[in-house]
Formats: sequence, structure tokens, C-alpha cells
Amino acid sequence: MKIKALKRNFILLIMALTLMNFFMNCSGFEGSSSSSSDPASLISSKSELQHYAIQSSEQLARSLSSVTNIDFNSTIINEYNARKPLMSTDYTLGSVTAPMLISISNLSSQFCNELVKKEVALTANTRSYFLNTDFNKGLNDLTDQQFSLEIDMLSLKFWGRSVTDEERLILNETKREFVLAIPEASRNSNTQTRNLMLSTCTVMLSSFDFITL
Amino acid sequence: MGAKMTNILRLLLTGIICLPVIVKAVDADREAKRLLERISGTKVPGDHALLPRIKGFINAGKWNNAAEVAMEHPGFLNVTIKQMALKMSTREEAIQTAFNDFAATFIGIVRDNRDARTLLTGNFQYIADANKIPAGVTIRSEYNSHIVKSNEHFNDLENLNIDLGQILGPIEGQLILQNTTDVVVYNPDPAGVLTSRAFMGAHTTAGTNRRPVEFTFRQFMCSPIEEWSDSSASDSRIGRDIDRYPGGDHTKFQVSCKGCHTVMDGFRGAFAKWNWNNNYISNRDVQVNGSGMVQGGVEGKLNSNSNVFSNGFVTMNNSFVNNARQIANENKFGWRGSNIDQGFGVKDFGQIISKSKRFSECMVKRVFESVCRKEISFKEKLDFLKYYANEFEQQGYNFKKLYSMISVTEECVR
Repeated sequence: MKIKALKRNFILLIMALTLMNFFMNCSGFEGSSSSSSDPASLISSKSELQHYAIQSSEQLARSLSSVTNIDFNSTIINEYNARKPLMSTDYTLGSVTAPMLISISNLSSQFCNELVKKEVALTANTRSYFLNTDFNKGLNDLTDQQFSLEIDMLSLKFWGRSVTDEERLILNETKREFVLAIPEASRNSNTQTRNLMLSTCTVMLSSFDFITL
Repeated sequence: MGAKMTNILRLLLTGIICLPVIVKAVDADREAKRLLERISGTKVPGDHALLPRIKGFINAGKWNNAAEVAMEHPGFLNVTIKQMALKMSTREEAIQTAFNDFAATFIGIVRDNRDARTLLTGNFQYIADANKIPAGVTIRSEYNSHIVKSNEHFNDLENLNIDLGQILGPIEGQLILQNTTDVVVYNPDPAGVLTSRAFMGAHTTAGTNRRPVEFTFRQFMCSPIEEWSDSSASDSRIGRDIDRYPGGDHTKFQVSCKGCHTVMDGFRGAFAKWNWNNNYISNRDVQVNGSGMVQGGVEGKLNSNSNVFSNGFVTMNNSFVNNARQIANENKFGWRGSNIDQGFGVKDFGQIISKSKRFSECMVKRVFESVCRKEISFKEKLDFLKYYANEFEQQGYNFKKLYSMISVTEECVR
């Protein structure tokens, strides 16, 4: 149960960092959500002590590339080189620091930015990630159901499993706060739809489940 | 055979190798993904191409086969093996160490299913195969400038767009610099990664060449110096630079200094001809002086500070003796084979280390920590380490086989 509490706190921390970072107009995003998948179900009751290891910089970069299907370009490599010194060097949870989490979300945001750009350029039926979003429309036209379907797809792609109820709740709450923070007049801009997807993607790729092995 | 079955039964009862049996009952989709991520060292999408095959083997209860499929993922060599090797290659013991010749050769040995003992005895190295360098990528590959006298070749390989498992190729022999005029010659004392530029450079720079002994034991026997300290062994090989009366007190030497130096100085002669100068490693048997004559002899630093204790051992050649033969160290290291008491040069030294039981046990520990990403100690898990060390040897010292066994153990997964 301790692990579950840890993951929940991690989600809340990353979510707070994400929103703060986003609305401070930072170059990258920050954020998370994370699974409440039950580690205890793995083998036996002993599995409550399931081990988690934080990914190193190279592991994380390759993981991000793998799940987003985005190759390393110069922008991403520059971000990677800038953030590398702040990443984990020994896999231990004890090595996690606030600058490390910000670095992780910044690197994640670069991959998400490329991913959203790539998907926006495609028609909905040829996309692989955002199948239900009309990127020509603003946030007011994005229904909760559409957003929920996008979360489902990203969860399968990034986490390799279905999103849990708790995660869905957190991500919906993130969306609600995201929308509220946008001036009403701007909500019909399709740029904000892209930003929401960018933010959601970054949140999910900065989550505890994603950054640990 | 009966003894082996008894041993297996005992380990099963103590829960050491029971994982495949227990895990069989859990979600194969989830376990397939976790196994692939553990071995590749990276997260993978839920629809990764390797997952169906891995899942198929898991459903059939063939966990080792499932792990072998997972090793086809490029992350196995590019992340898991690379990070393990980098951590062992230099004094800092950090995974963020720059990619180097030690790690390249380590990756090659794993990929090509070479005997793990060649890590310490091989006369080859791995560099980028010029025919496999991707278009648009520049890898500086001039032997003198970029491989022997600098790390630039390997720095260029530290590129996220390069698949090290694809690009590295073996070359027979190890080349080192003969002199400052950039002539390269074959290394007269090749010993796998021990005579790599990274390892030799890290441990023969300055100092008195005791550090390469210490770090060989640290990295390949998983034994820090305080564990093999032995005051009861002969001190006849301890150099002249070690004070026998520190602070005027001989007892202090006997109690605090002697223990480490008996074993370390005994082996130190193996490295007597090696040095690190001007960014390259050198060996006295091929180095030439200004007259074009081979220098021979030993590095001066082996006999430095000779007035500290003038009756100490004078190193005249690269002979060494194994002073770790007293009962405690004998049991710990499990020396095996012929010629384990003495030898000449790093190659003989590497042979002795690689044939020991402890080398195999240490490789199990290294593999466990690299794929399970948590520590395992000899103190707490000796039976586990010994069991898989034996299996490792039975499988011809094959790293991939070892990974396929270790990565599916309960100790690793939980």
C-alpha cells in the first residue's frame, strides 16, 4: 500500500508542476499522472515490495522515442544534452530530485511536441495516437468523450495497459484546470487544442509508471 | 547428477529459482511487456513487434526462450550492456561515463556469444565497422588519432541515432602506440578489456600501478580491497615506497597497511610495464626511446620513493605472485586451473582471475544488477550467486544465456 500512496503523491506533484510550468509559459511541460496498477498482483503477496528503478537519461530518451515513434532530431538531442546531467545515475528512487523531474518533463515535452506536430499533419483516420481530436477546432468543441478516448489510446501506447479510473479522474481534472486557465476568448483557438494534447502527452510520459522500470 | 538434483531441490525449497513456476499464473501480456522492458532497459509500446513472440513463450512456460527473444531488442546492447560496462570501465564507476573501448568490446563479447573469460584474456577489440556507419553520420576512425590517442572514435559513437549492436565489429589483436611518432604496434600483453585504453588509462595514470589490481578485483571479482586484505600472507613483495614504521610504529604497518599490500603488491608486477602518458597507454616492451631502441624494463614508478623502506621489494620485471592463497581468500575466490600462484604480465593475471569461481559469481552479480536494476550482495544471496555462476559456466560462460536465466528469477522480478 505504501507504493500506491507513493505513486498517488507522485501524480499530484507532477500534475502541479505541469500546470505551473505550462502556465508560466515555460518552453517545456511538466507533468504526470500515473498508474495505480496494483504491483501486489504480480506474483504473490511478497510482490508488495516490487522494485522500481528510475530510468537514466539515455534509457528515458530511448523510451520516449520508442513509445512515441519519434526519431532523435537536433532539437531533441539538444534538449537531451542539456538535461542529461540532472538525470538519474544510479536508478534509485532516492536519487529523484525536483530538477530531475523538471528535466524529465522537459525532455518528454519535446517528444510530445514532435508527436503532436506529426499527428496534426495527418488526417484523423491515418493517425496512430490522436484519432478522435479535430485539430482544426478549439477546446470548446472537444467533448469529454473525445478526450477520454484520447487518454485511452495514449495509455495503451505509453503504458501498455488500460487507464485506471483514478488516472482518468486525474487527467480529466487536469484538462478542466487547463481549460479554466485559458481566457474564454482564446478557447476557440485550435492552438489551445494542440496545447492540451501536448500537455496531456507530457503529463503521461512524465508519470511514475513511465519513468520507472 | 543426483547431487545436482538435490541442489536444485534445495534452491527450489528456499525460493531461489521458483519464479517461472509461480509467475505462470499471471497475466502473460503484462509479463511479456515487463520482461522486454527489463531486458531492453527501455519502455516499449504495448504493440511492440517482439511482444507476441515473448508472450507465446511465456504462455508455454518457456521463460528463458522469452528472455532470449527480448534480447533481440536493440536496447539490450545499447542500454543494458552498455551501462553495465561503462560502470565497470573507469574509476568513477558511473553509467554516465563517456562511451569507450572497454564498453565497445564488452558489447561485442555479449553480442557475438564469446566466452566471458575473454573479457580478461582476449586479444581483440571492437570498433565501428566502416561499412556499417549510417549515411550522414561521421565517425572519426583514424586509428592513431581517434582510437589510440584519444576517445574521439567512441565519443562519436555516443550518438542516439546509432545502434551499437549493429555498427561494432571485431578486429583481431590490440593495437597500442609505439612512440610519439604515431606508430602503432600490436600489444605484447593483451588481456581483453584490462588492456583497453579506458581501463588502463583510468588506473595506470600517475600512482604506482596498484590501482589496476584493486579495480580488477573490484570490477571482476566484485571484491573491494578491504574484503581481501590478508595480514597473514607474505609481505616479501611489498614495495619500497610503503613505510614499515608509519609514525614510528611497526604495529600500525602490521595491522593497518600490510593486509592490503600483501595481495595487491603481489599482483602489482603484472602491470609493471604499463603506463598512461600524454593521453595514450604504453607498454615498455614496445616503447622505443630516442635512439629507436625498445625501452624494456619496468616503469620507474614501480620503484619510486625507494628510500621509504629500502629493503622493500624491487620490481625488476613483470612477474607477479598470487598472495591470495590463504584459507579465507582461497575460499572466497576459488582459484582453479594450473599456474595460479604466479605469472608474468597482465594476460597471465587475467587468466588467473577469469578461471576463478569468484569471477563467475561476480558476473552473475553484475548481470543481476544490470537487468534487475537493484543490488544483490554476496552476504545475503550467496546461494543464488553460486547456483547461477555454476549454470553460467555450464553454458560456456555465455552472457546471453546468463541474462535469460537471471532476468526471469523471482529475485529479479519482485
